[in-house]
Amino acid sequence: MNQVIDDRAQWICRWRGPMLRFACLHVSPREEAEDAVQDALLALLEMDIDKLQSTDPKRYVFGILKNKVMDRLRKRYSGEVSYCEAFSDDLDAYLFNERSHWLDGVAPAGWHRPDEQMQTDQFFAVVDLCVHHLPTKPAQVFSMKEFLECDADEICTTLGLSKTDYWQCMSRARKQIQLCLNQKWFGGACL
Amino acid sequence: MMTCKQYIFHLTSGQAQEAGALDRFWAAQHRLVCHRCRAYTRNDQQLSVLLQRYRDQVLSPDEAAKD
Repeated sequence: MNQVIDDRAQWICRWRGPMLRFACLHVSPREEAEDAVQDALLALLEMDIDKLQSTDPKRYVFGILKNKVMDRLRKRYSGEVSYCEAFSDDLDAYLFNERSHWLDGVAPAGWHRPDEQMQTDQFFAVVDLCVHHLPTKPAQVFSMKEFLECDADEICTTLGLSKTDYWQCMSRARKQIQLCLNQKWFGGACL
Repeated sequence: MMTCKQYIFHLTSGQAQEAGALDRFWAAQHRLVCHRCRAYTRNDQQLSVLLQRYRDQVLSPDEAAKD
């Protein structure tokens, strides 16, 4: 019994940080993310010992954490309908001319050997910066798709948005992240 | 024929994954003639790999607490 308690304590020490980083991608303020993590860890502590020994605790607790995060997102976004006002600026006006083709000098040039650069903490810090600079609503849609691995219908239902709004948010997020990384990590070369 | 703006939206929104044969054809046609959109597409593919690694990094255990 004591061994199991020790195992759980050790497991919590090791995984609380990643769980909090994961929750902070989706929920703010940080206190609310901490609450979601706490709820998930409580579920781990209340778990039957036999079940715990026959389960992968990481998978189990991240599954609970995902549900806790989704519950909070549902509560926060229920009733909000307009995603058209999600963007305070028009990124496309910066990228494309009146004929809807690229303006000169803004299309990112091809990234050379990004694989070699992906392993460093410094690089991930830049990715983190770019993700956190997204406007709030595109960031929410994007993080649910890429990090919570929700499908489009689930995201639309949870956040109460149309498929068109979903596409707009995803497009905005991916465009902005590519531009941000190009500028802040890949040297800013443009075509 | 697609414009660059339409092509980039098609690519980045996720519509490309659900597109029918005709839309895929027009997207491929656009890529053939537009070097900027070709470069953008390659970067976007790299971005997907990179985001997966970023996610893995966020979810990796804290070093100090490792056994």
